[in-house]
Amino acid sequence: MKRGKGSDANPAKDPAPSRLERQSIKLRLFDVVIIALALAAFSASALVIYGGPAPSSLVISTDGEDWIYPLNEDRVVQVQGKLGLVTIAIEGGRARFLDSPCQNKLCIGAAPIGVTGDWSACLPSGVFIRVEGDVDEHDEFDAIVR
Amino acid sequence: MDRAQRRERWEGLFPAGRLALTGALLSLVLLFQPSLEGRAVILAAALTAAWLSGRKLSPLLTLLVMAGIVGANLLVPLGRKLASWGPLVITEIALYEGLTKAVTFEALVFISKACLGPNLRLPGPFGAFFASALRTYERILAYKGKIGARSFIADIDAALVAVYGEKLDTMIGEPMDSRSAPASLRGNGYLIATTLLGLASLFIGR
Amino acid sequence: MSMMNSTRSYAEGRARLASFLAALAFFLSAVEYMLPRPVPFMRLGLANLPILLAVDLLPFGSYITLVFVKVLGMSILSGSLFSYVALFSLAGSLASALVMRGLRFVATERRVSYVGLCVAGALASNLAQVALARVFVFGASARYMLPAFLGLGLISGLVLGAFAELFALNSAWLRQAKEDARG
Repeated sequence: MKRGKGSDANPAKDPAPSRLERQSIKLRLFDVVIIALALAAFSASALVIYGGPAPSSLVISTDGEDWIYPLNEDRVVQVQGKLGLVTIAIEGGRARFLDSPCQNKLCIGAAPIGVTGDWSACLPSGVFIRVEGDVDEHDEFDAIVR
Repeated sequence: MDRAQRRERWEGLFPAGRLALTGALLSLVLLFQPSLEGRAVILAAALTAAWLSGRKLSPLLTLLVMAGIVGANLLVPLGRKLASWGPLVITEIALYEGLTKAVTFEALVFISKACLGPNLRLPGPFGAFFASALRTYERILAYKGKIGARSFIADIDAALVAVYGEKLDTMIGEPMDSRSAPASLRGNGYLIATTLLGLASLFIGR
Repeated sequence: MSMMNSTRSYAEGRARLASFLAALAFFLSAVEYMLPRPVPFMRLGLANLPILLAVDLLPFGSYITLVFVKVLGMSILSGSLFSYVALFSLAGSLASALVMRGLRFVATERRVSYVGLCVAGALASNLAQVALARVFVFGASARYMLPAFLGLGLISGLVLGAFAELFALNSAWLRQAKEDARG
């Protein structure tokens, strides 16, 4: 494959007794392969990174304050609730209440949340947690009624 | 006093090797400094030093880079929500991380700018190689004015052929005249004081 | 000129060539600084041209030394040695140099030209720099920069590679250097 790039060196207009000829660049087999691979890598990365849904995050709300943490990193967070410190754990892409000074400990017994839209709460403490993010296309159910 | 004069004064005051060594030490001090406030103080000092050294600085570029780093870190929200500006959410930990990284990044840049110069001589065979390359670089640089946009490649090639041929008589291990400043009481004093201050800052505060 | 060259030992000639290539790198980076820049982000990386040429001119040991001297020299001249900029530069240049050399090891000049070597090198360099940027500067959001870096790498690799090919075809100096390299 031949491609002329004479405009760069501009030999035709050069008045000096130049040994430059109007050479053209020949692309070889592996050049094309490498360029094709590079294009593929670029397109693939653009599709995955810009096209995919944003990673989900956990939003913890108390009276007046919000905290945001990504769901894909394991973490233990403590926030100040009405009755004292409430501990929340993020593990394996899901979040749950680990410890709370409330009386019934209902929050600790609740199922861990991991899907966008799910939420849980420790009502006596006034601490709410919910999952935010782009809606997952692979969700099969809009809601489950028990 | 304009920038060129500041540069001369700076290069005349500090021997290149010791200056570079001080810069390396202060960079380590910065990296070991745990608090953002401490690093910000070092940034201010480094900025002053870089200005005094007569190096070319661009405040606009610095601010842009720092804004870019902070902005990139804010993109992934983390920690207590501080404010939200439309789609952009400013969170505490992300902001802190972003500021720390931006301050560290630029502080290191300014320390480097203040403490490095072309007169630096490196030890050993590596240093001789480097010095020889620098000498050749300066010889080629003399042809810079003759490079035109139209016959770009031809001009560069002509310069290369000329200097490459010149080098026939030059041995690689030739000692280079040290154009670096001689050690002086004042210069050494400044360097030692700065180093001690830097080390002390690691122990002050939390 | 070539008559006098033949009296020097092969090792001396090679060292002289390596030193000259490093000097060329410094020079080209100064030239690039002078050029008008249509897009502020696009660094052509003209200073990588000598390393690209060195793939065929220097043995592996000298080649790697050249890379280090180039990075070190440019870091000192631009006053960035102790900063992350130099770290990124080192990682990028090293990744690029190894990939280009590796490619040449498996493919001769008939199968791949400087264009292919350059594109591969530019991609390797940008990948390495994005990885480091994730750790030191940008954090998790570095992934959003990846496609842009890959795209820019492809473009700058193509342009620099084309320039290198043109240069190689037309340079009298390179012909002389190749003779010296063969000894």
